[in-house]
Amino acid sequence: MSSQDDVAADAVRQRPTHEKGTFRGRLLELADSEVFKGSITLGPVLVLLTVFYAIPVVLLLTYSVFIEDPFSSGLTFDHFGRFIDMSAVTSFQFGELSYVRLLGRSLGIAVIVTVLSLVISYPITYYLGQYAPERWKIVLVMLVIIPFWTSYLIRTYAWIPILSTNGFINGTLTALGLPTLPLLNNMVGSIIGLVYVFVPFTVLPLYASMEGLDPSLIEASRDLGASRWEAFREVVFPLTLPGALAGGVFVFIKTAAAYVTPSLLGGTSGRMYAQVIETQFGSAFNWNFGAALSVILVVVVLGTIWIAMRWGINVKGSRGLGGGGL
Amino acid sequence: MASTLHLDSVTKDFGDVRAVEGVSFDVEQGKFLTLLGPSGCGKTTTLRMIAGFETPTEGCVRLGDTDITAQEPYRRPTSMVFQNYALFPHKTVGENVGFGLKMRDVPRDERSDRVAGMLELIELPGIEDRGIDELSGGQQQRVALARALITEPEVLLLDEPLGALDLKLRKNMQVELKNLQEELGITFVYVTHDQEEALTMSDEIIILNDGEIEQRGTPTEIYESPRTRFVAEFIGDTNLLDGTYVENGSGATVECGGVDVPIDSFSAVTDGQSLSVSIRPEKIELGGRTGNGTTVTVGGEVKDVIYQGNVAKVHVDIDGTELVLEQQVIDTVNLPTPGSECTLSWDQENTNVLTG
Amino acid sequence: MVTGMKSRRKFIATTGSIGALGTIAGCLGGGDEDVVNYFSWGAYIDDDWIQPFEEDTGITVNTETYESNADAINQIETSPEGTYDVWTPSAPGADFERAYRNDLLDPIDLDNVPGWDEHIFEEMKLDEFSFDGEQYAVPMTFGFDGAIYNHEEVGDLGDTISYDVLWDEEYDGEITTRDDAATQIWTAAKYLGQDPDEPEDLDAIEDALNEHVDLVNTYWTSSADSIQNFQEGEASIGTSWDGAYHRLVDDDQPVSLAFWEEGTIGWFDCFCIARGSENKEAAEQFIDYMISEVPREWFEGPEYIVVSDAVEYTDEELETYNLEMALENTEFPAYNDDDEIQTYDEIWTDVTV
Repeated sequence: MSSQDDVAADAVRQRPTHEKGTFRGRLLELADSEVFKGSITLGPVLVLLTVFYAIPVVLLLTYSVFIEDPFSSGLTFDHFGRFIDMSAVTSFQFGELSYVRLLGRSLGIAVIVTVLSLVISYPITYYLGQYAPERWKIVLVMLVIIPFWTSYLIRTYAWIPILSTNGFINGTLTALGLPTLPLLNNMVGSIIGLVYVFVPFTVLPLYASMEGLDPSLIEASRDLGASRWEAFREVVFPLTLPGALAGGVFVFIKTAAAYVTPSLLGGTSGRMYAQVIETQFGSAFNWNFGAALSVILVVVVLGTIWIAMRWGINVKGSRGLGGGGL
Repeated sequence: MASTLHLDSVTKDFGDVRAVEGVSFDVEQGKFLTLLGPSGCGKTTTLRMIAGFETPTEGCVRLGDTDITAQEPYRRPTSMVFQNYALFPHKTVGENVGFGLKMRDVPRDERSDRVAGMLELIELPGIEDRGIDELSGGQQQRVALARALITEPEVLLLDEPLGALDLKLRKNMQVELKNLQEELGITFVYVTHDQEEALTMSDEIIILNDGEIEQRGTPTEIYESPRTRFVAEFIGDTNLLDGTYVENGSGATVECGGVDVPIDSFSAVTDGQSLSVSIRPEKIELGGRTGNGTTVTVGGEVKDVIYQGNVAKVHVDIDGTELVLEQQVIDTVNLPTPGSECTLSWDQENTNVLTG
Repeated sequence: MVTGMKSRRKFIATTGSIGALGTIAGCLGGGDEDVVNYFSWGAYIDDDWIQPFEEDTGITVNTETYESNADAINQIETSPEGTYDVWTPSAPGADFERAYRNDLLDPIDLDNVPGWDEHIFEEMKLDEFSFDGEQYAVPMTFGFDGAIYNHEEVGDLGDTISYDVLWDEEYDGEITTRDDAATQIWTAAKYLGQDPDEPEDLDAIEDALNEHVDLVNTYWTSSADSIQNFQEGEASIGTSWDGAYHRLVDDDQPVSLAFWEEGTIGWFDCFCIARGSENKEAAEQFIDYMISEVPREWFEGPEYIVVSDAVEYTDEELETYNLEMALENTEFPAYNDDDEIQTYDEIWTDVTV
């Protein structure tokens, strides 16, 4: 209502008029224009976005479509062609599509890490948001945040003596007379390291959602015959889905492009896509192909998220997961 | 199946705070019981223990012969209507009302039939597909009621369900709720801090104060014969007089400053002990009184007349003690004028001796 | 190729690093003061070595580290000329030759580096350090991609081992080798008896690497990586740099070092002057100081063989770090052009995915 009133008031309000034609008049007119006002407020943000996001992205795009050096060699799509070897596709030798397989593996790991992060975050944030005594909440949330104070690299290195063959876990297993587990230098190592690093990123937005969740809704569902699991499925999950999506999307993006963790913990079988990109910019001296691989990653990840978001909206539109309707 | 709800010496502590202390009562099947009291008196906690959201520290809750003290909420044949309705914002009206049936795995067709019937009952037919945010407060209230009733609970628990409605709607809903309860024959346990609501709807009222029961009775008993100072003050307006108990032969008097209030002799107190009495303003009349029973008559001076439309409050000073009486306004000309001498009278039966 | 690289540098320099320019100018500008901008591996930078030089000469040494030869080449290529004065690529062949071909090097005037004559071992003065009669590199350390094994796990295998062990099922899951396409192709070619610098059958090499990858526990990318693999029990046999071996021994790990029967990759880390250096004389003075005054500390630090007699090796050390045998057993991989690198990289990606 009030916004409509504002619009009406705006229409009635006399716009200041300036002498037309004179320089001063035109200047005043410009200063009064919405475009000018808009660019003043948006300006710093736009500059920031341009410097930190637009320029690097344009650089990547530029490199990806030139044979070698931008503007001094010809345009080509060969770098993208190298990603999908058409001869392998037409001869059904899909195993030959190394880059596609690698990207698929990275996305798969990203999905696993995202789901695990959410699965771990849900009980933590449910407790924090619904049960934890008020005065402890801030302390507990701090405990989640404190690891951020240490470098990502150090936190990842710390896993090596825990997961290795001579490490803490396997040492304990050996002491108990149990066989050792291969936890380091494989996909398991990558996943453990990534989940550890990214759980806080799902905890924080989910906590915000949980805090906002009216506990009487959960009680109402329990009262009406829902078991704990049903109460979660019918009430807690759909109502905290925005928080889960916010955290999940972030973790998915970051993990799909993970480099450090798989390099340190993933060994050969846990190798991920970003490592191959790094090789192109590093020892392979092929920036153009590296740029093309990066562009493909960005497009595929954004596409995946777009699909996931559509799904999320549908979920909301159907008013509840678990079957909708009556 | 007629099951009486029993609470036996139920106590609930939250840390060091005792919210409910030794509360016991029974509610017969089909009765409308109200737990009335100011905020923090333990009425909601008591309700939540019946619902199963809180476990009593001591004591037990039984329904018929079944001890349900430790039963999970979703296994109890109770349903709760929440103060803020607690409707699921992400579900339609139909999904909200049908939720309890879905949890009981009632087939979809039967569910939608029963939801339609329930919406019919609350006089909001055909709104199954609406979103909760499209409903008015009153409609949300009815939908919350429908959602709680559809599982055919033996006991319906209502936690200040009308608190968020405006006055007029609240009055209508009070009547409708009462009618609905009589129609369905379900036990209602109703929590409110609104005495008028309690008096209007209840078969019986339990007044809670500081986690303990002050008085239990029908609305008439509670209003007409408050037994404690707390009840007298909490329910309606009253003249509270503190005085000294004096025996005088056949009867007794409570000497309250300028007024001596005669009462029947009272064995619980001895001569000279302090005692309080209460007299409702509407029980006091201006002028002499001709009626059966014993009439108490005192003289005083009109201090103030407050006109309130259908009634007027007349403040009278009797040798330094003030009494307020309420008079029906039939004709404004007949209202007393401040400063004039007057006589007050009331039936001695309407003097309540307060024991607590 | 050479011109192409130049234009890439220009393109990046004028777009991406406008902001960086300011920063670098701020840090390194320094007005009329004498400076040397020294760009090297972290292990080759130590304040204890640099400080006396600064005090004696009044020249300020600015340092920056890199993680790999490729990093260094990329960074020098994309930074404005004159950003770096002294750097330390591995020579001969591979990265050193790439640096020369991409025009990242300026010649060194040995007249300004008397230490070259006074201290550097004669047998280490390779012809490959110069192009067209101009000197481009002064060697400092010598190392090789030796065979390291945990003798408690695999037994005593002697001091010369065949590459066959890297394809031996007996060591399934205990092998670690270097995560580097060129090195892997070179090694596999040796294993198959092909010419490692111009392998004739790349398909056979890819097949061999596919067999190898199944036996590998993990590949290493840095000295620290490979040390950790042995410390943590992830690997018991594989390739590593000799410096890593010496540090494992210092850590009391039960490891032995050996040469590869078919040929071991060797390398020198050399001082070079970056193209466009504006402090060439100070740079030469710094190089001379580093090969004349610091070798002992340098040798005791990263634990590679330092090819200067200024180290003053003891007899015992000469025996442990058997320089003659090392030189005899090592080979220096040839330079690979961009097409070869791309081919090798594709093979390596196929193998590891």
